Amino acid sequence: MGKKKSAVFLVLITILIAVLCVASTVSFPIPNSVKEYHSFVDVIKKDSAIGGGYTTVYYPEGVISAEEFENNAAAYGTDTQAEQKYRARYASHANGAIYLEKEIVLDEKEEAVSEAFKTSFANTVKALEERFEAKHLIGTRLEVSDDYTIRATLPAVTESPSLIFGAFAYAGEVSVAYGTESDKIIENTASRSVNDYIKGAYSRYAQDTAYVVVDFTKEGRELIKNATAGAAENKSTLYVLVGDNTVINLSVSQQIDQDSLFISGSYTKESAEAIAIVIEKALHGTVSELDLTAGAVLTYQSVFGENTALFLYISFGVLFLAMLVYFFVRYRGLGVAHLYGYLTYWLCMIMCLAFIPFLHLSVGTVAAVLLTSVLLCVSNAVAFEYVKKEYALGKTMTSSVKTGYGKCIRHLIDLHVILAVVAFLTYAIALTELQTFAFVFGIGTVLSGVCTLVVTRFIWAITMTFAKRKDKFCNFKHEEEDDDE
Amino acid sequence: MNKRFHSVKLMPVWLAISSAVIIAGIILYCLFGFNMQTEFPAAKRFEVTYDTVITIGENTEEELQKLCEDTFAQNGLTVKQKQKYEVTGGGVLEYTFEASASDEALAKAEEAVAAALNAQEGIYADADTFVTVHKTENRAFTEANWRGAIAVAVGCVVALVYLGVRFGVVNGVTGLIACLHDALFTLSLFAICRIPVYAYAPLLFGAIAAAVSLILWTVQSMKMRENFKDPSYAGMTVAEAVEESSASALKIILGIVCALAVSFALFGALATAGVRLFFLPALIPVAVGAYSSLALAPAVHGHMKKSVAATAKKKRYEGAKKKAEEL
Repeated sequence: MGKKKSAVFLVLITILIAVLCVASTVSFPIPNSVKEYHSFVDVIKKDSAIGGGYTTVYYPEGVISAEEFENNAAAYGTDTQAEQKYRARYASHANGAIYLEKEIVLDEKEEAVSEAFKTSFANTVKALEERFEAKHLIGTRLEVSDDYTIRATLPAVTESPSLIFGAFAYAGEVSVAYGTESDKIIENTASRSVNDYIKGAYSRYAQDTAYVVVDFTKEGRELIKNATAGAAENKSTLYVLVGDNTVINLSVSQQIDQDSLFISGSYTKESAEAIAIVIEKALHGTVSELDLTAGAVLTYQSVFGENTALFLYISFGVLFLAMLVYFFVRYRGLGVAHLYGYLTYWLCMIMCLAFIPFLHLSVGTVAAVLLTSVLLCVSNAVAFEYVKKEYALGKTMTSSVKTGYGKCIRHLIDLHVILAVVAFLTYAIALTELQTFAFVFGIGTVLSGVCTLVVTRFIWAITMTFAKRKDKFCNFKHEEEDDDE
Repeated sequence: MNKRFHSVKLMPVWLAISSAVIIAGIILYCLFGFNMQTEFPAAKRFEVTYDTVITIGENTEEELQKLCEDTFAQNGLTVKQKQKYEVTGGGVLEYTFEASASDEALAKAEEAVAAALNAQEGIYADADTFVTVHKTENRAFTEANWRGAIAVAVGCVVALVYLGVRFGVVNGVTGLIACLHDALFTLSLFAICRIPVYAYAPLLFGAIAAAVSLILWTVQSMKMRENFKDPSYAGMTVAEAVEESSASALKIILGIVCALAVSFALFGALATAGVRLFFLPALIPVAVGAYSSLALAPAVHGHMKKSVAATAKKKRYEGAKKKAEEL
């Protein structure tokens, strides 16, 4: 490549990388506008440990918090008799942290919590556990608090936590009604189960529309078909209920004769998923037996501390500098080729983290980025060393680069292919943190391969045209020179 | 050549170390599990709920925190985690203590903080506050764990197939053994040393160990493929050839291990305490990867190759004998 052509390429690539570096890291207010430009780093979502999340407490029917109990008692004001009557209705539990309504929660002697309530509560906890686990979100947490309340936590990536906390609180079995919510056409009876009519439910998201999909069995399809036979003449509504809560209401204007009902409407991706989970788990999981009331949704910041993300970026910066020093000292001008290759890797990685919806910043992600960063550095160093060896044999620089890369390319491709295959396979099987780690590791490996074998080599070829003494530029020596010295 | 590290010869030592650690790890894991104190499997939480009087007051929230922390100190309570929550119309300040924290001390602290907050005068006079102590018990999700374990195992098997195709069956089997060994060895060390980990961390550490092991063993395999073509290896025994090749890969393996170790150590040193709890223990899978790729894997590989060569020789001999008899 000629000097002029190389100069043009180098300038263009430098400008592109510089612009992307600014776009990736600098947020600024847009002039003459109230809007603000958010850098790619800014829009990277964070897991609950780094970015915080939401938490709430579920109170089963008959259980209230100490604060609510005291507020309710105080509301009686001067009516001390009513207040005493109110106080007598409840028994304090867990050193006064919660109050239990004697009639609902305690046994006949009003001495201890009834076995029936204990069993119902255990089933409710299990049902909630299944629902929250099915979200497959890192940072989701469920705790039993004070024996009879449930504390749930969702990460900050959740867009509508109240909706999810609310939907997951629904108790009871699945039923389907047509016309009004009480006209049940599918419900559990002594002889038949809802599962005989409904196979399951799941959510889909396509072309900006979220769907809840309900799969019917042959019998279920027939039943819905018969029920909606007159819908063309008289419009009506099909309801899917969990307990007494309507989770789907669908306007029907023609007969429904389908195996799967795709229901869209006002759903977001998250709400469709939550509704589908509630229906699916009520069908095939543990049935939540107790009506739950979700308390106020509390928002919290990073568990690891306020400046966790900042310190992570600083650590990356320090490592980046250390890496540059090593490459520039060992390979002099060749460090530039590595720098461009590394920056390309970094920019692509930041964009992936910012724009691939299910990726976010977490310690697992950082570990995957670190591993693949090291892989890129080692791959470049290996390629440089192979070329150095060839050059030492007395070959020209062009021939050394060609032979050196030719010798190591198979090794590097092997290494990258095997790691990427294993990473993407792990991503396909694993869940939550390991899934994210594997995906980022897979992407990083692919980027490392491309940057080593394409970008670094290309930049090396360009920058080499400007070097008067190519050996000094790369800090390479012929063996005879070594001997002379 | 004399300075070569005789890893193949020392095979019984590596086997003894690895099996002792893994067996001890499995037993301790079955008995006690991992040390997940950082996740507070059981805890006591001291909560102060307050309204906007405190959130908008100048330094009132800080004063409230100071009040709570001084009270805890007076009652001999050690805070494990502090968390501030925002809620419409106010906030919640929460302090987490270990499950073993004294109920009596917490009750005294609750009483003292409530009394200070309900005082008729002072900065909290107009504020609506409430103090409670809760005990919580975490419910661990298990699906991610078993799916993760299957994922790592499947990944290792696929790596075996790839390595087997590219570098020969013996290399593939050694790679599989190394990957699984490293994941198990790492987890065993966490179980034995009771190093505190987050709930998701053991799986990640296992995966990091398998990934590091895969990288390092692939490097070893590449070096072997390259070196074994060298005429200088022709006169060596299998064990000598493996050891010599392993020695020639030492520089690059140490390079990778050092780069990873420096990266993890730097993150552990610079980042916040929570991040440190992940990155400093992450040095263990890196160290285990170094041990297995420099000591155990070459030894296993040398022995396997030796037995494969002996079997092939025997077959050749028997074949020749049969042919001679036929003639």
